[in-house]
Amino acid sequence: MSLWNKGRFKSPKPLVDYKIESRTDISEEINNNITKIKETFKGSDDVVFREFVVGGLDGRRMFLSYIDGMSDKALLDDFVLMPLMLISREVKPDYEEIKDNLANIAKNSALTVTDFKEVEKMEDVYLAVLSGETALFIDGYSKAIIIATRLWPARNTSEPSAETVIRGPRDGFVETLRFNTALIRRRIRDTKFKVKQLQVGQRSKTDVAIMYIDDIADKRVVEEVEKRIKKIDIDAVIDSGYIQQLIEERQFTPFPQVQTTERPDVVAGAIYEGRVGILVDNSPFALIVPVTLNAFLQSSEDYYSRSSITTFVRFLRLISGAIAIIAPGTYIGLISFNPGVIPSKLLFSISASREGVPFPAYIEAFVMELTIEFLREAGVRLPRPIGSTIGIVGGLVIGQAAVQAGIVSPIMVIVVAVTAISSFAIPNYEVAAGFRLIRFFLMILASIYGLYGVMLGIIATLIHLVNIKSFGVPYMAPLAPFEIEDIKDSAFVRLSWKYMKKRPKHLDPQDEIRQRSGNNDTK
Amino acid sequence: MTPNDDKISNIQLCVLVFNIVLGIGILTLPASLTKAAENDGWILCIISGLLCILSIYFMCYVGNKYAEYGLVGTLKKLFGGFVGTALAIPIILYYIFFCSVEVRLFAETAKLYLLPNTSLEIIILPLIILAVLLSRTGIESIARFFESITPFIFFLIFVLITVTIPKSDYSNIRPFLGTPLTKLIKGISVSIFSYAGFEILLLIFPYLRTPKKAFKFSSAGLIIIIVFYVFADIQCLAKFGVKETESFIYPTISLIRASQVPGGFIERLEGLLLALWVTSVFTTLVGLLFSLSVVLSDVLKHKKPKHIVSMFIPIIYIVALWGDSVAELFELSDKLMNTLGLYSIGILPLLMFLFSLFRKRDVKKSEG
Repeated sequence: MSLWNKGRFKSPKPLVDYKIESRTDISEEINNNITKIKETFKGSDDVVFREFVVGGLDGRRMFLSYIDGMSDKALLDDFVLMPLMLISREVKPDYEEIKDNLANIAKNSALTVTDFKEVEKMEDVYLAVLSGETALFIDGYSKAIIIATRLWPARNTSEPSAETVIRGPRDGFVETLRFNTALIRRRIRDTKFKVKQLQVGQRSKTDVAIMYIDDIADKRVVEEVEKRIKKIDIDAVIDSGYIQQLIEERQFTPFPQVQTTERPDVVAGAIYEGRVGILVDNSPFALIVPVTLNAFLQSSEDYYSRSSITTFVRFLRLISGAIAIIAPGTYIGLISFNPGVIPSKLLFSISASREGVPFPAYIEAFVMELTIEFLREAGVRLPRPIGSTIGIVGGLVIGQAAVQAGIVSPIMVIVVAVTAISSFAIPNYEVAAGFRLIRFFLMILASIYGLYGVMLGIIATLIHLVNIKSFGVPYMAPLAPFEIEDIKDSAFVRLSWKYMKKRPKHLDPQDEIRQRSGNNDTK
Repeated sequence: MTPNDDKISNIQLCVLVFNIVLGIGILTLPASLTKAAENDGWILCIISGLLCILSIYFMCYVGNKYAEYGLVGTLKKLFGGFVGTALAIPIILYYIFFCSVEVRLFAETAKLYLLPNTSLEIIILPLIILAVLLSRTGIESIARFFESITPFIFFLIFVLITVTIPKSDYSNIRPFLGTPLTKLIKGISVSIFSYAGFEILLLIFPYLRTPKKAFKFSSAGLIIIIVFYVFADIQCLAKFGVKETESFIYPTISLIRASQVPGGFIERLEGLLLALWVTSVFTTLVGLLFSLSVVLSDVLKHKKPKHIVSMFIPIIYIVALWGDSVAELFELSDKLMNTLGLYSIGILPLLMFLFSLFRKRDVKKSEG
């Protein structure tokens, strides 16, 4: 807090000062440490304290502490307590000889665990214990040994339910950060691949890993990501969604500027392109930055299946995205303002079917669009068996009944259904949700201005889109700014891997070349 | 990461020129061309297009020399402080009227074909507000907007071409060069202003990343439009013949109306295309508003053009609602183009070019 902030804008003082200002040393006298740690964890009955003696009854006192349920008890029993308490007594040298050098001997030749470290401050001990490690104090030694014993009930990796693919790997991220980084590492065996770990959340101390390839990713992006994450000052981070919202440039837009995915292959692919991946502990959703609208219209499968098929599918997605945004608005515009555009035969049948409908087109459209939104929301939250029932009730009963009751016209039901299906064809859920909001915006404009209103709405949306930047990369890239190289892998085309020799240019990678010497010989 | 320097690339310049020039003019152009030169209208189109490229060359020559000064700065350098500022004033007026006429013309057509029961005021307002919103965000966003809209415009043009080609009689274009030369030369003054909009080159140079290549790319943008205009004119003649084309107010719309969509899944294509054409009018408007704000902020010595552009919402709104009818509007736009337009497209670039030639000599002398 600087001098200048003392006036009106002084931020309220936090009730609890999170910042550890006085860090206490670990004392050589083990009793002090024991009282301190017991005092700190008073009231937490899941913390285990175990005191034992090494080298016979008159030997040196040792003390360990861990949290029940987060640590590997078998490991502690077999490889910490066993060697220290039993085996050390049976082999030479004798306890009496090494009394003074016990700590080093214990570290170097008694503890048969691979991963441990030493800390000098009590606060580090607390954090380690809270993270599932085990703290070992030795009498007469002013450091604590932290043994890596993290083990807690974790979900096995399974296929992500929101991003299923037909062709491609089936593994998905889980809630444990370490497993997730391993899933990425398995795909990137490169020494230049970096996993930078930070802790976010004053109370939750959640691990956040920033992953990138050092000589590909744009340095400025990496720095910016790190800066923004370090700037976060929040009590707890429950899910990567917290981080996502806290590092995004724009908060009030329906378009996400950070991509989320449950698939390690997507993250690895993005990292190879020069993007930065962010993993958050306790969240199976990884974040990818920078991201463009383009990337949201792609699925990981696109890169595994044949290019001609993919190009076709991407084209379909583009059309379905357009339908998801403009269809109901266009319907309103056509019916209420410009029926002349519709061919006369179709117009007759439409107006015949609309004859019994007492409402203007826009009321009809809003009623049906809202109904389908209710259905969708209800279907997501309900348990799976009931969810399908809701689908039947909603789709058949309400649709059919509403038409028969003369509240909406059959053509409206078709428009709503096509819109809904199209919006599900967009691979990314969050962008599809953004498109839904825009759809309602266009419907309002269409009720005022007809087709002209739909165009005004599209222009307004586009003005918004060209102004968004995700970590310095324009959202509409590679279309705007236009990058001919990147059109090879864009919203409507994907060429075969043989022709995608360079990384996406709009990400400004340090190393642009993907395929150094040509694969053309096999032509 | 694209550099965030408020500058645009070459392709963006090309797209910028293309989108600003292409606007409402195409809807009326074939009629005025045919009035001026009958079935040689398209030749007129090419000649005046080439003249415009000459003007672009002048602008680029001067612009390259004084790349960092901007229009007003360059004028001051060439003609001295007071005269330079005074020379910029007509440009400001020109932009205000051009914007207003563009908006009004579009609103009139939209009212005619799309929203017969909505009043002009209501149609105009959102268009101006959106245009101001985009112009406020700076040249980078404007260029990106234009880039993302361009494939769409090309798609529209493609539809236009494929739809209008069947059942046309190209013998209508013959005989070539049947019009007397004097009539052709007179006609140039009509057709040259259909390319109005590229004057943005007068003031765009401080915003260019590589000003050296500006001429190549901006004239490329203009050439696409020449081709498109020639096509529209020939197509109108082929469909309607000279007499009929002359009599239309909006021959291009009539052309689309006369064509049928194969399969007939859309009955009246012109309604739909006109709605889609909003984007093109919008881009013209944004380009003009941006130019206006840049010139005016330079004249007023204000650092941020974006502050200035907002206050044009009421001004353009009022000016746009000035006349009572389309006929009056055409009269006004003819007057405007023949005075202010001629000044900013022809006279001023030529003056600047000549003066900059002299300056060059001066500099050399002082160096020698």
